Amino acid sequence: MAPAGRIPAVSLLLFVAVGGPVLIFLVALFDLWCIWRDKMTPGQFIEGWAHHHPFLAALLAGFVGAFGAHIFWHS
Amino acid sequence: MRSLLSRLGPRAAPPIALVLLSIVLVAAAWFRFRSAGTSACPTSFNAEAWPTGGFVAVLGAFLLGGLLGTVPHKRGNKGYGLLTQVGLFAAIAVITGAWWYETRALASDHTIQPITYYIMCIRFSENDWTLFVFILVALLAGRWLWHRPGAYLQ
Repeated sequence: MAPAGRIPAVSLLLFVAVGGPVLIFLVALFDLWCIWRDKMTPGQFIEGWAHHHPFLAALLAGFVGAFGAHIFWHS
Repeated sequence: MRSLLSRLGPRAAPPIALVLLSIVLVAAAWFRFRSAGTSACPTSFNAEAWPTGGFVAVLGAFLLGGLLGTVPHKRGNKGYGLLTQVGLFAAIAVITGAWWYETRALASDHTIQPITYYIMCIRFSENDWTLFVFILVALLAGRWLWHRPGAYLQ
């Protein structure tokens, strides 16, 4: 398999494998910081945005669904 | 320690659990894939006619995340911080960058592999682990995007 640019393909595989859990870690850690400071969390910000923009939120939710289907609707 | 936990309160339990869980997942992914190559990746995947159990689980997690919004919860009293806005801006920038890379890879006629190729390769190698990460992300996405306004604790 050809490497992507100057980054070896093995590193990209590791980067993608670690990337998902790292994103969850950052979001959860930031939530804790917001709770500590008694501020609203990013999730609550997005909830408010989704409440005021239901069509755009539905588009994004559809993208999440399509992404899940793309990855898991295979054997 | 007790004063720290009392200041955070019970609403900090889910993010604390997520922090601990994600540390375990990051370590597991690091040790599993640090020396793994793409030579074992399948060159093609067969699409199923009916929704697979994995897809149904991800979809179910999304819906469950939305329904969790109806559970009474507490809101912060001080509004949004500047760091929240910067964080969301950075998150959207990362998504945009990933999308740009995916488009570039798909247009390159396989000289560069798209991110989804690596995800499917990881899933092929560690299906349960990948499904678990996707369920967690779908739960968060459902909680945020499929907003079910519930009661707020005072």
